[in-house]
Amino acid sequence: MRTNSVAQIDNRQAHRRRKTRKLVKNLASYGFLSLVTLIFFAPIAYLLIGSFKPKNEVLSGLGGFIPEHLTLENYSNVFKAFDGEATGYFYKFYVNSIIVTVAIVFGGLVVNSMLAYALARLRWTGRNVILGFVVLLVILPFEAIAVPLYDLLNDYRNTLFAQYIPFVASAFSVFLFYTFFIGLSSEIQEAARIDGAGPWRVYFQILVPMSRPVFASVTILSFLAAWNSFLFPLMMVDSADVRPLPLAMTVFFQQQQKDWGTIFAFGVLLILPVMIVYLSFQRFFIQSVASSAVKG
Amino acid sequence: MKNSTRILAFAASAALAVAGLTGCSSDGGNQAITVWAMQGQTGEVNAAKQEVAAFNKAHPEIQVTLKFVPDMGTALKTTKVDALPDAFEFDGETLGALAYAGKLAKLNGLVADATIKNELASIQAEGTYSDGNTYSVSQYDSGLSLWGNKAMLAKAGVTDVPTTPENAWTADEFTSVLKKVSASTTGHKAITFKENYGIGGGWAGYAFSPIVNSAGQPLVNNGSAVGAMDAPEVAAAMKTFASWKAYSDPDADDSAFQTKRVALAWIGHWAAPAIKATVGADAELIPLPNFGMGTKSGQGSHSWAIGAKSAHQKAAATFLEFITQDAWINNLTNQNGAVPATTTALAANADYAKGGLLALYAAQLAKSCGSANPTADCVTVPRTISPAWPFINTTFSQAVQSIWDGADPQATLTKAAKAIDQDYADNNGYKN
Amino acid sequence: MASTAKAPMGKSRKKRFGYDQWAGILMSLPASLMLLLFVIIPFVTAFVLSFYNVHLSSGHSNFMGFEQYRRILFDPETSPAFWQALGNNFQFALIVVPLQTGLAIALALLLNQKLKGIAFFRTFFFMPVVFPMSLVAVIWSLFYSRDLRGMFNSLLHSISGGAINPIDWLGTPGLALASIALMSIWAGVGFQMVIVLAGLQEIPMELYEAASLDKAGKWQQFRAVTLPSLRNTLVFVVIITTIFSLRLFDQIFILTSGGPLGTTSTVMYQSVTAALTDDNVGKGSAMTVVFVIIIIAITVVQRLVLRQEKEIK
Repeated sequence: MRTNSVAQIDNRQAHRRRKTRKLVKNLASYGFLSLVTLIFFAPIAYLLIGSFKPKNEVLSGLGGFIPEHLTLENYSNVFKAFDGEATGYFYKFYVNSIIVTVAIVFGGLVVNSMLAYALARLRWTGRNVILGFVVLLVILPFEAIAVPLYDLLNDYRNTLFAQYIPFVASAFSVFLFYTFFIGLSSEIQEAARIDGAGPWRVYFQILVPMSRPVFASVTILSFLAAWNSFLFPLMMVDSADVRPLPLAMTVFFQQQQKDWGTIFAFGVLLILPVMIVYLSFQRFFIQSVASSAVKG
Repeated sequence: MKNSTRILAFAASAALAVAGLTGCSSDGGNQAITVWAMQGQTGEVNAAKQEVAAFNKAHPEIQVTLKFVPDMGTALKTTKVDALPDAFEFDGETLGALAYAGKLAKLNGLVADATIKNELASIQAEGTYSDGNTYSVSQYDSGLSLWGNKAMLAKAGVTDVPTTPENAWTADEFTSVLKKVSASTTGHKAITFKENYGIGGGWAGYAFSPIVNSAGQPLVNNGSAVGAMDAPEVAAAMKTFASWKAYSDPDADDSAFQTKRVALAWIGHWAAPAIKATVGADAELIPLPNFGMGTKSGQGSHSWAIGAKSAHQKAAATFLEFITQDAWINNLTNQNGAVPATTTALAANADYAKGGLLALYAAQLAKSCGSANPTADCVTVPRTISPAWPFINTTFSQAVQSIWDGADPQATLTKAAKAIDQDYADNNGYKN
Repeated sequence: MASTAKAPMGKSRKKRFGYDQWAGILMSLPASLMLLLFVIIPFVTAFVLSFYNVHLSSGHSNFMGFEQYRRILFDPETSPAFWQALGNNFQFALIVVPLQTGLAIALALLLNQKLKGIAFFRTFFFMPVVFPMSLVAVIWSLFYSRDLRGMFNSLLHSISGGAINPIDWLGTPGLALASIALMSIWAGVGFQMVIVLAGLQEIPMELYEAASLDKAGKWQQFRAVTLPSLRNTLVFVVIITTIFSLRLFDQIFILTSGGPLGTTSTVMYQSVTAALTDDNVGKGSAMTVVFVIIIIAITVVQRLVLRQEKEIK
């Protein structure tokens, strides 16, 4: 009886101790995670808070994190800088960026995945040559070809076309698709082929539905690259009618007196759509970025 | 339905044809021209809008469509000549490159002589290419000097403050001024050299080339930088300049002087409105220090030109004549604080008269060295008017940045000078 | 295709093995054509231009033979700048690749715990990745400001009670590239982290259970199970990070313009500014060609080394 109750108490104590240890461990984990989060979020918070601060208070050391004297003036300055035909309208830059981005992303999904499929799953003469080129092109930085490309497309200066057409086909996207397709089990496809399905049907009815993760990750990566595209629009666009957002931001860097408040406000507006997409789909977002890469 | 559309289309095209005919028949007829302006400070943007609106009202036969371009330098560089607008604003320092590329129309005989002759001598020098023709006019010139905060200088015991080019501080005197001032300020910084503009990114080409000139040399002498930019006296001057880094506020918030953190600022005219508003009566202009050949300063600012292939050059010229009238120049310079680019507007402005707050700028610009080599008698030196200027500018600016960061002045300048000479040689001396 | 039904036995067997000449060509055509037109042809053009002196603004040009290459690679006056830039590229890669990969593994392990709300933390760790580098550089330029109003200087100042004087993060040779690296790691590590995290989650639990039966500690488990299982993932991460760090451009363009004393200049930075700022397209193109050859060499070597390792295993 006695020993029994002692054992029980011991047991309970051990259980409690284990529980406490786990709790302490969890608390430590949370504490550490929060600390790291803080470090990662600090620059973003700085941007966000700074965009609402009076322009001469943005740069003030640790004070930049303190949300005081908040104002919407920086945001209204952004809109005021683009208030007519002569300066272009802010919303138009958004529209331009969206059109260019959508064209690059969706055009890219179609042509790059088809090329990757042809390289990964079809046998045809010329396949190895093209595969070799794709691998080579993955490492070629865009900056390396910017000047000749600008010369090549000079007739299409100041068009949206010139801003997306060179970026639709992307060796990097092809490479991501290719590695994913190679990693997929080919049994279902082979079976379908034996049943008489042509390569097009296999592609559309079997491969595409099986490959959602890689389509998602290519969508996201090419979306980010397209949305942030700067160097080529800088060379190709002077008209406000087709100006994309990142290029419009340079307006605030041309001024002798840099207004960090307005620049930060523009930065927030630039990142806002990406953030909304990211936060709404963050689980999916992260998993899809990872899922294709891991097959590499 | 079908018929009526066809008739409408026909009528429309007929109307267009008629309009086109009248446009061609007389050069003063209805013309639509496109004008590009730089999207700079808010005041400048507003002034440009006001000018265009007034012009369209005053000249119903010419309709100007105004477009603002954020990065004009790249836009003009990458736009082929036949796609250029009829008239455009550009950074005056790129005149050489644009003229060499055949992108500018000669203004002699196109823009009224009276307009060109009324511009400051410095502006006329800036707009003249090596072929002797005028390619640009301007609304304003720039002023470069030191600003001083009287109260802070007095507190540091600096009393004898020069305000005319003739009695500028020598470089050594300036060093001791910096020493005194930094001893009396809390952060031990005495001056802003506007490092936030990026010395190596071209700021040095404007702001610190006067050091070279004040040491008695041009950046480039007759198409050669070796023996000019890298002369021993220049290296010595640059060494002194680099020693001032210890007193320099990095000025990342762009308002070290305005917020009275430092007593001195090495800066252009564009800060004048903000300085008037913040430092107020304590602010005074001081000439840049003298490195031996007298104080020297920069000149030149935004210019206006006409596209070489514009179909409406006469109309574009009318527009340039319009915006270089004193009233419009004043409207602009009141907003951006720049120096009016015509002799009449400058004479009428009390700020630039003797005793005025900005009198030093006028005194400096009155003594332009033109494209000749700097002497003791002149003050302002235009940037080298050559297609090589963009390269000279970056090469020199990066050299100054390196010296500022501690590199050996002589070796750095010699290397830069050799690179510039090589660029001239590669391009066959930039002869067309 | 209509003839398939009548096709002889041989052809249909070929088809079963996936011989699709026409489909292959048609499906690859759009992307191949665009890559040819917008990547290969411009690169070949760059190669041709590298033998000329081309003035960008005016289009004036004259043939120079191998002169641009001689100047970049061998000229005692002009080549040191290029070699310094290339050296900076490798130095940057040497800092960033191990640090970023190591940090990515650490963060991934941190996130691989079974805790409530872990997705919340993951959201923040990855967030910098969606920011454009231009915006990141603007924010960090204020962090790195040389005076006390810079965030880092302000932080160090208040932590040390005023003992630490302001540091010129981007203006001190030897420190500037490290500052750029720190910023780049912040901006990029989330990407590597999620790749590693996905790799971690594919490791079968049984491996860990077996290891813990063998009384292996956490660290031993990490070395014996985690790292070997992540091998393929890590190879991918290292290659990608290497390529990205060799391409370093945006950060330099915005923050340091290659300074101080050329210690943050990179090959891509020199190439772009030679063409766009100095109007010297030939020089920029020649640098590009040299750079691409170097990257190809590195990639080939990496491949060979990795293949060898695989064969040994």
